[in-house]
Amino acid sequence: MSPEQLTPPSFEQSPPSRATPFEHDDEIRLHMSNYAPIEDARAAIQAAIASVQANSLEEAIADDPETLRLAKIRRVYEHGDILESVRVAYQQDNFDLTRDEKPTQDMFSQAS
Amino acid sequence: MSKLFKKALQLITGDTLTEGVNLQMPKKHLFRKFTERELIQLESEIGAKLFGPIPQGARREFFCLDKRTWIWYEEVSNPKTGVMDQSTTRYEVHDNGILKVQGGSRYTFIEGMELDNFVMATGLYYEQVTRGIYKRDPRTGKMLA
Repeated sequence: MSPEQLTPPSFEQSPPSRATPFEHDDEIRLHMSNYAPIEDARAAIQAAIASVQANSLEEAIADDPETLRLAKIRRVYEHGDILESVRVAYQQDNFDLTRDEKPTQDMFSQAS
Repeated sequence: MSKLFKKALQLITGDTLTEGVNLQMPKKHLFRKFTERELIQLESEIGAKLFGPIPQGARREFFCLDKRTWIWYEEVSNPKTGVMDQSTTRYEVHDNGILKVQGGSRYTFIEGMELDNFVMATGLYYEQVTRGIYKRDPRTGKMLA
C-alpha cells in the first residue's frame, strides 16, 4: 500500500469525528518533567535496533493473528524507542547535522 | 511555529531569552543545538507529508512524541463557518494494543486495517526521519556515510 493510500487523519475509512481537541499543556508538561537523558544514547540505539531485528524475525514467522498483531505493536514501540535515543544522541553530539552543510574547522570552533 | 510547540518551548526556557539561545527557528539550521521539541518539529514536517499533499489552508502534524505516544493534529477551515476546526488524536502504545484517544474522552483500540495503516505510517515516519534528519541508517542505527 502506498503512502497516498493511507487515509488521514485517523487511519480509518470513514471520516473521523470532530472531537474537541484535548488539552496539550498538561500532557507536554508531564512528558518534559519525566524526561531523563540516556547516559549512553548510542548503546541504547544499538540495543533498540537489535530488538527491532529480533521482532521482525518473530513477525515474519508468526503463524497466528494475535502473535502477528502484538509483533506489529511492538514494532511501533521499538521505532519510537529508537527515535527517542537518536534525539538524545543528536543532542549529545551538540552539532546540527540536519542539513547538508559539511562542517569546517572554523565551524567546529564556533560550535564549541 | 505551531501553538503546541510554542507552549512546549515556553515550558522549557521560560518567557525570557537566555544568553546564546535563539528561540526562533532559524531558516538555515547551521550548527546550532536543537532542543528535543525543535527536533520533533522538524520530524513533524516529514510526518505531515506521509499522507500526501496538505490541502490549501490546512495544517497537519504527525509526530512521535515519545516511544509510547504518537500525535496526529490537523487544522482545516470549516467551509460553512470559516472557522478553523482543530482536531488532535493521540495514539498510545500499550503492550496489548494501540489506544486511540480523541478529545480526551473517546478511547478505542485500533484494529484491522486502521492498525495496519498506522503501523505502516509509523514505519515510514521512522525510516524517513532517521535518514532525512538524523542521517542514520534506519536498519543499523549507524551514521550514514
